[in-house]
Amino acid sequence: MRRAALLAVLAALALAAPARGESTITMSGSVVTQALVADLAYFYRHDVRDPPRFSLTGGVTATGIADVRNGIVDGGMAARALGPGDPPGLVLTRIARSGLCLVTNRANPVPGITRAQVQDIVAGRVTTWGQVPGSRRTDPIVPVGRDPTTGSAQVFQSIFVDPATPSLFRPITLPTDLAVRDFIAQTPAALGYVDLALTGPLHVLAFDGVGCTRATIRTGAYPGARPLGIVTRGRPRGALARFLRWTRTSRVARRVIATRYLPG
Amino acid sequence: MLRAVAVAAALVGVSAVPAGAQAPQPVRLAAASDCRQNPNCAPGFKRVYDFDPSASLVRLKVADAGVQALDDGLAEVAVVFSSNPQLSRPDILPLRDDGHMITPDHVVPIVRSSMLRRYGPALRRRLNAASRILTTLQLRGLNQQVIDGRLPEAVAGEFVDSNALGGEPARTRRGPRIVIGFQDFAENETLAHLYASGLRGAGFRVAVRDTGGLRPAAVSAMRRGRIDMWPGYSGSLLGYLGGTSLRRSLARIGAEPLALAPAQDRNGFAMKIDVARRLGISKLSDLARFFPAVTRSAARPARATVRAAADARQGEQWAVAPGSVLDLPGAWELSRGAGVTVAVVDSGAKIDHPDLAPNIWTNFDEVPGNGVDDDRNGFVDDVHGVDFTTGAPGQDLTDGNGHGTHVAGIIAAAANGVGVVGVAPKAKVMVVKVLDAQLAGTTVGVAAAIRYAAANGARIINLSLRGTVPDPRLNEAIAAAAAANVLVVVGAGNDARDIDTQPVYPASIAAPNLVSVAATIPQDGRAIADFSNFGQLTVQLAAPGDAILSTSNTGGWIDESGTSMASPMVAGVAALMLGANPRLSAADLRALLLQNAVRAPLKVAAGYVDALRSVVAASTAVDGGAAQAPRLRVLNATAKGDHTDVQAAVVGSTAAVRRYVVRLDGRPAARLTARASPFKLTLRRRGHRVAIQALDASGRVLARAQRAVGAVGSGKSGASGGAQIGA
Repeated sequence: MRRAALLAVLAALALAAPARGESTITMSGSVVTQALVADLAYFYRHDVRDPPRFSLTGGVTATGIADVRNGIVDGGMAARALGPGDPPGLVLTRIARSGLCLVTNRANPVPGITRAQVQDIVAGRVTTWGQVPGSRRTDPIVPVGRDPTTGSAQVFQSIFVDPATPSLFRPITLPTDLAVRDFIAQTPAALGYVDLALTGPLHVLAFDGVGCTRATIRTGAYPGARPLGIVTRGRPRGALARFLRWTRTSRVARRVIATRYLPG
Repeated sequence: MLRAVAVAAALVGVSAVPAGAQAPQPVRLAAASDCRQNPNCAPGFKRVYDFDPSASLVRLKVADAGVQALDDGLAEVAVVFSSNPQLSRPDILPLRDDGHMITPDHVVPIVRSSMLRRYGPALRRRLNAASRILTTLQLRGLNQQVIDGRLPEAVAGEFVDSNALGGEPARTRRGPRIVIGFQDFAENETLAHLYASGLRGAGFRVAVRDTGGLRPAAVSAMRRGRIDMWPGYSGSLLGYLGGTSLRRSLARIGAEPLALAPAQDRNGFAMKIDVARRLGISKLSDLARFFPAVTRSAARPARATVRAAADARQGEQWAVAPGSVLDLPGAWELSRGAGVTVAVVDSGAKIDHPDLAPNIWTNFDEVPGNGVDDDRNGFVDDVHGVDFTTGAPGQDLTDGNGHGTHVAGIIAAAANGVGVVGVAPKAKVMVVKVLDAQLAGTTVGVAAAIRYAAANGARIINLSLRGTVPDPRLNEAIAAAAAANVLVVVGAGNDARDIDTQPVYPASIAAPNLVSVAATIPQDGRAIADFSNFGQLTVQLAAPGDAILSTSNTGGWIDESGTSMASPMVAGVAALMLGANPRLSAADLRALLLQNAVRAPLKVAAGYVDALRSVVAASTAVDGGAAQAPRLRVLNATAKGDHTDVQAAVVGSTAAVRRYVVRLDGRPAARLTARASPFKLTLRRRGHRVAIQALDASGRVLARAQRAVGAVGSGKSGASGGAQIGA
């Protein structure tokens, strides 16, 4: 039996905005950006007078953007640039430049991969490590990725995959870059992509002979660069605007960003 | 000092298994270089387990890189510290210390004696205060944050701030700068910054420095005067220095141990699960088969695996079957929702149903049927819940329709061999009746029900109901539930429409503690039912909601369909997550549900809910709330007769809260010791405004809140009216 819904008949009332303290900055979204923002927030709170509170909730870029659009949070933590598929009226304030690195398990230290090889893997023409020069493995490649709505997946698709490449590759999709990192660290035959700051326990592949490092991102040699930043409805305002200005102007903030990324 | 997170292992010197080993297959042990001397490593194995692994050691240069040695295939067994969150990885098996070899190893600040004399008791007090707040679970949480990309300095500083030991000091103390060293691994760096932040908060001048090595480097730096303190580990430091007293051993290098932290970082031993299974190893004594014997220990019987028997009609429940979209059987290995109360705000429930009776919530502070509000929560005889459909003082929870009984069974039908099994078969159901037999109710009644549930111990509220008229009182009640750390799960409605553009309530309310749910169909559970509402911005999750077998108000079982059935699936999964990790905040619970939903081309924001992934994530999640400074909320304040009843909640870190001071109309009314949140109190006079402050041990105000006192009669005043709402 299907439950019939009852119709409400009384006069419409305005939807109240969620209660929020004046001095709390609320943000949700990418956990990669969250780790950076949390560190910046800590130093900001020790660097200014009467600092605001921060309430940060991790997720993915898309949920951060949806939460901003719905007015649940002040800022959405994003790990990609805004695109035409995003709701109108949003503004991305960049904090840092990062990169999306192609990675394998450390037990499979393939020196590098070419654009042509990436197309072959995505198109399903190459399915085992035995077909990848430089790998000592022969077992099937275990592709790992993120769902197509996430910042990482969109950056991977737009930068590493040619539009003409048929997508026959069915990666295991995981909820966050952290989960991808942990899965690849535990799976010798895995191939995937993670944020530059999360490559510690993994082997990083050079792409077309160019390593994924801060130096190659700075020079523009590495093509997989992406911005990390905060999405707002319109230009940032109030306490959030002051925080974002501090991330661009403070020497402390630049030092924090430089521990793993490049300034935005 | 800012440093990049360094967790990479540096491994040197892989030794070969000796040709004469008795082991049927070579097994290598990855451990730090001190294993041959550490009583919790090789000497311990010889003493307790009668074997010697020394000839098969793989030496780790970075102390806690054991898991990476396992990942790299460089060893089959590795030392892994007990505070390492990687021990919770699903492919890692910590080996049981069945012979009780491993000794305690508490975090302890080691301080230069001359520095203690220079600054007197103030330095000792401050460091001891910082040690006192650190438990093993918290240390593990701090480590996880660093593994996830945070800076040790910021992670440690936040922890100290949230426990009221940080902040800007009123004055800087005169005297020499205190140099804190750390051993060359991330946890020790975090601990060094933790003590540094605590000292800075008390006005000491501090610098933090890498000693460039492990324990020997720290001891050498102390001996040579390059550092004034470092965070040590009591048991292994004593093992390294030798002797029977850490105090006497440290006196030889001019240092002194202060109070031990509750946090321990003991040696543990772990394997990859597949390797352990292949070799038949689950405990340390099993390793005796693979290393040269000192004297052999007796074999022990393997532990039996116990599995719960299935309920009689479980085979008809497609949503809970192995391999279904919910992935429940795996999640049940980790949690069954024990200790979690879920409020079913609906049409009541058949509380004596054989599948529900074991799991109906009981308010033990209320005496049944005596017509008295025994627990002074504003409601008479609310033993199993409240009936908001009438203004009468008593509670009639009977379900005249069957909707609430069905929803309750989906969440928590008992695993008792009878009928069906709920998603969280050990959770408790609080029955809050807001819909009559025709499934009609009001938004004001639902708002009152949410407040009741939040104030009386529910951690999750299920709302399988909807209306089309927004009511700010509903928003306010959901915000109050957020203040009490309660997650609200809502059915998206059955109008087959996009509620991003045509909203329904409460599903379309934007709140950080609210999740709305669409329904999926039984074919593979991965497509949205044709009747279900959807919305890529406002509907977060999808879950099974078509042809769902659950409890009936006749005492039997019945199939029903609707988002009313999908919402309790998610409420049940949330109960499993809280059962695995009760310290999760409502916001974290929502975030983990969304993060671990399986992405699919569905018209919802996150995807369909996956119980196993969500529960695994919850069980290893960092306690986000503990990193926040405490925040206080007065949930309810009502005057009745000659007294005032108050309900309050504190969220964030409560570790530093020692007492509460309550004022009524500006005059002191009560002083309370720290207690579990939310809490209730009765003030023995009437007033107009109640104010509460949370104070630390020194009397410093950590948080404050106030609220106007309202008047209530039966506890149901103001629970009628508003817009119509139904299921």
